[in-house]
Amino acid sequence: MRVLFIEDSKYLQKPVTKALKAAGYGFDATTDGEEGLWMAQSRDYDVIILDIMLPRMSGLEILKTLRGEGNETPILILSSKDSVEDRVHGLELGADDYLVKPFALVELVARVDTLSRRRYNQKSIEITVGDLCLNLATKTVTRDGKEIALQARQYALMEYLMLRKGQVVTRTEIDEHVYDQLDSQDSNVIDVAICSLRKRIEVSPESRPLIHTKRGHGYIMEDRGA
Amino acid sequence: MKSIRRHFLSRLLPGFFLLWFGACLAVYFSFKNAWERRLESELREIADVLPVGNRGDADSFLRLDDIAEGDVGIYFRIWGSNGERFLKSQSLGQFDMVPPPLFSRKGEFGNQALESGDDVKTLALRINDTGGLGEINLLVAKSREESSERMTTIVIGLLILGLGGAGIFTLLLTICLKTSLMPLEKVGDMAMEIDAESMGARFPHEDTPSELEPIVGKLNDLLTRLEMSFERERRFSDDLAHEFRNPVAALKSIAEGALEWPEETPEENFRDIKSISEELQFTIENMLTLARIEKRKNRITSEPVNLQKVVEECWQLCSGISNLRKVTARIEIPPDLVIDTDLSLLRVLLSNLITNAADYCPVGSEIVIKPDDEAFFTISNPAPHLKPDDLPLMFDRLWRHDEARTDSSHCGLGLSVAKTCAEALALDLDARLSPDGVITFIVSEEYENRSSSEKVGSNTIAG
Repeated sequence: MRVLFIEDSKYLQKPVTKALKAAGYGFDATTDGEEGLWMAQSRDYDVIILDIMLPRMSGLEILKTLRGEGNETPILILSSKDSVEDRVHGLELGADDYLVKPFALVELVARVDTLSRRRYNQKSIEITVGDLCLNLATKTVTRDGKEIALQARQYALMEYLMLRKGQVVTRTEIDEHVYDQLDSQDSNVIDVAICSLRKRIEVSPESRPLIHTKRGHGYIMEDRGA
Repeated sequence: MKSIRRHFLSRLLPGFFLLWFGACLAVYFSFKNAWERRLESELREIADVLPVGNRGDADSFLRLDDIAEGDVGIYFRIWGSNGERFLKSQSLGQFDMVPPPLFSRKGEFGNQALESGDDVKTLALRINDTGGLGEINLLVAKSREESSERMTTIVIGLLILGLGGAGIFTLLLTICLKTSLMPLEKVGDMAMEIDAESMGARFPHEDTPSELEPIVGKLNDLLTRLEMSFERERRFSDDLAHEFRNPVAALKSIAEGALEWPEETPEENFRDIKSISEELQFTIENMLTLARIEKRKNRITSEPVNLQKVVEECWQLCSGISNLRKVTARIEIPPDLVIDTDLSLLRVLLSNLITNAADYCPVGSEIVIKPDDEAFFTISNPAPHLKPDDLPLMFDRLWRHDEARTDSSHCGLGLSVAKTCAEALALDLDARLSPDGVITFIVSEEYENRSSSEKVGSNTIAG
């Protein structure tokens, strides 16, 4: 899952980046309004966290432009403006959530989780594929009752594949939704990560393969039975 | 409660009633006079029937009795020239009439109450050529009974008409006032509906009576000013929230991150916390400065101050930023210009204006500080980023040209502090923007004091 954070406070960016990365999100950030709009238009983010008072272009203008273009990425407004008027205005312009500063990091992460789930029409906090189960709230993965320890990026990849279970997921999509700008753009990175993930979820010799390669297209996660 | 409607009614109705009463009186007396004239005319007609010339004798007078008998309420009495009684009409019966003091040939009208209780009008005539009777005095009288009855009817009619008319007039006046005051009530109702959420509403000019136009105009002006104040208040709240919530949010997030991942807390986090704290301290100190200056307004001291020296000192204070931004200053204040003023406040005023100029003018610009014909001094610098619309706002607390307020080394209080200092010193601080984008801050005498040629509040110039 990939998040775009448009916020002009350099002090705020660091802890938020850390918290979201720890929660397994790919993360891009900018302090400039116009650049933020360009980034949101250029890539398919799962969630955008948007400040209102930004240099060169206000957050509300960005929101209006994106919604005007038909961009449906969930947007969470993170602002110091706390009046009912401001909140209602932001939501009316098409924001999906509004969080007033100062906020608790865990609350921000929880709201981003909810918005990203909503994007994939995932209402339950558990996703299962065969005997593999992923808990979105605790960010844990179990198979056949055994917990599988995953690194943040591995978890992010697993979560994205499971949210898209039964669908072909291209390498580009994985790159866009799981990896951030600073990660290596080498296409081999994704293949290596998939290979590694396959090994991690193979908890016993009887474990059926769940991540399948669709040659020329990408990967698909599904339980094809015995 | 004062009411325009009641005010009008209380003044118009008594006036109308007085007029109405006067009209009724006029009608009453005109009828009364008419009846008097009629009575007089009738009495003369009766007198004309009297025997005149040679035909006059006692028998002839008996014809009067015929008249008197035929017309109830007609009386006569004849006296001789010596006062002896000759004849009286049978209608007098056992009663008699009193001779009036004067009889004349043309006739004298008078009034008499008969012993019978009848109130009569009389005509006293002296007749010379009656023939056998010689000179006689004749008193003819006619009862007022009929005229009294008629006058009573008229009075009753006038009373009914008066009361009815007054009632109808009161009703019409009330309706008319209600209708006329309806637009006022409408304005009142509209004013009741205006609240903080609907400051953009204005009273319509269409269909407004001309008498209410000035009120509606003033109300709309007031609403415009209120809307601007609310807008200013809202902007101040937003700016204040940004100035405090953002650093607090950052501090809180850094602390939460440090608690969550204590082993990963780098030294950089502590540096950030220090920077955020310093910025918060800067904002708070500026706000406290403002509060302190406002408190000091009544305790301004005065001493001779060499303006050039203070300007030089303030310029040196911002040498760091001026060197960094390659900003220079041209100080044209005469070395002998001395102002009687509060030195500490003047220093705060000048340092804020000069620092503001050094901070925001383009890199490599020149700041000009000089005296002016209409001001103590002016500070000018190029400001290509400013628009004329910014001028009314730039002295507002926390106002910054950069709406995003990204640069956290400023908080937007410098010019507010300068303005407050100027007010405390009884000075005017104004800003003008030239078409070529040069902003000039003008420090001059307070407008109210400009008529005074010698003394300017606590600030006097010498040199």
